[in-house]
Amino acid sequence: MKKSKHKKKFNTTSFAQTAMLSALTIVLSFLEGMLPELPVPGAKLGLANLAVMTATDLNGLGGGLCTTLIKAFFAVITRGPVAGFMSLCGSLLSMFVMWFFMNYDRKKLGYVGIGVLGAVSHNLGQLIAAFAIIGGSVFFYLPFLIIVAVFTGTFTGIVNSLLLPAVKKVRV
Amino acid sequence: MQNNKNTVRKRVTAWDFVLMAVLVCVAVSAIFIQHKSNDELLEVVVKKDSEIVYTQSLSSVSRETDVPIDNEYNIILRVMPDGVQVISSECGDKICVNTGKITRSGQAVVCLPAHISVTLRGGESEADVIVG
Repeated sequence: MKKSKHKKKFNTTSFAQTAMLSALTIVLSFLEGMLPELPVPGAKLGLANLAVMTATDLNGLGGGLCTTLIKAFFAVITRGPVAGFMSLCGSLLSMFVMWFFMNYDRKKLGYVGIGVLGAVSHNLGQLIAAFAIIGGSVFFYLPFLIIVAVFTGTFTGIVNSLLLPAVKKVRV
Repeated sequence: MQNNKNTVRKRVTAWDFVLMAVLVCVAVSAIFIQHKSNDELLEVVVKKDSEIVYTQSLSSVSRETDVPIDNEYNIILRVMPDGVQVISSECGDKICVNTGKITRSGQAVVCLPAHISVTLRGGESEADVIVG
């Protein structure tokens, strides 16, 4: 961890990690799909954000981007282009926001704060996608989604605060 | 002051709680503002791709009426004196049907596959919500 995170070389370890985390996003997306729907078109809790956050923290923008794209591709082939577009918008925004705060907040925020920001921006990104498709009135849901995101984001943050130090320790 | 890179990120910091408090406050006040808006004189507005395809004032509805909206997915809207509901649709995910009945100004039912949104509006405060 000597170099700053976003300048990291994309070596074999990163490659393997990105692959595994991408697989994890697919599993989490699938599990999330089995949960009852939120009353919002296509919006999800953002459990898969867990793995996106791990990938972004470990491997920077490149790792996060790969994971996000693979997740969106999976959404396209299983749930159709509309769901894929929503997934892409949500996770891309979320990933950029988390990456930005991970690198530039001078460690003021904890993992929980990053997780919450990621979850909120994930929902915001999905609503923007829904707005692009359908126009108007979808932002009515935003306040409810923000409250849900605070909880899921906290969960994401806690899990990553337990997971990331351990993963970084075994890094070759 | 540029960075203290060697410090380890904590699990939770005071800033996290500030962030969460701000988010929850914003969300709760937004919900409060939405609910404060006028619930008298509600009007149903159905849009397809941002174009209004159907409007109906609820005050002139005396009993339940079923209105077919979209030919492609056969969406049927049930308009009631106190609210509106999508009762059937042939879209894949049925989110619009599962949303159930909406009764308050600013609430919406959305069917993304059909590009249909059903909104209730009433009073002046609607300018806050309808963006399209």
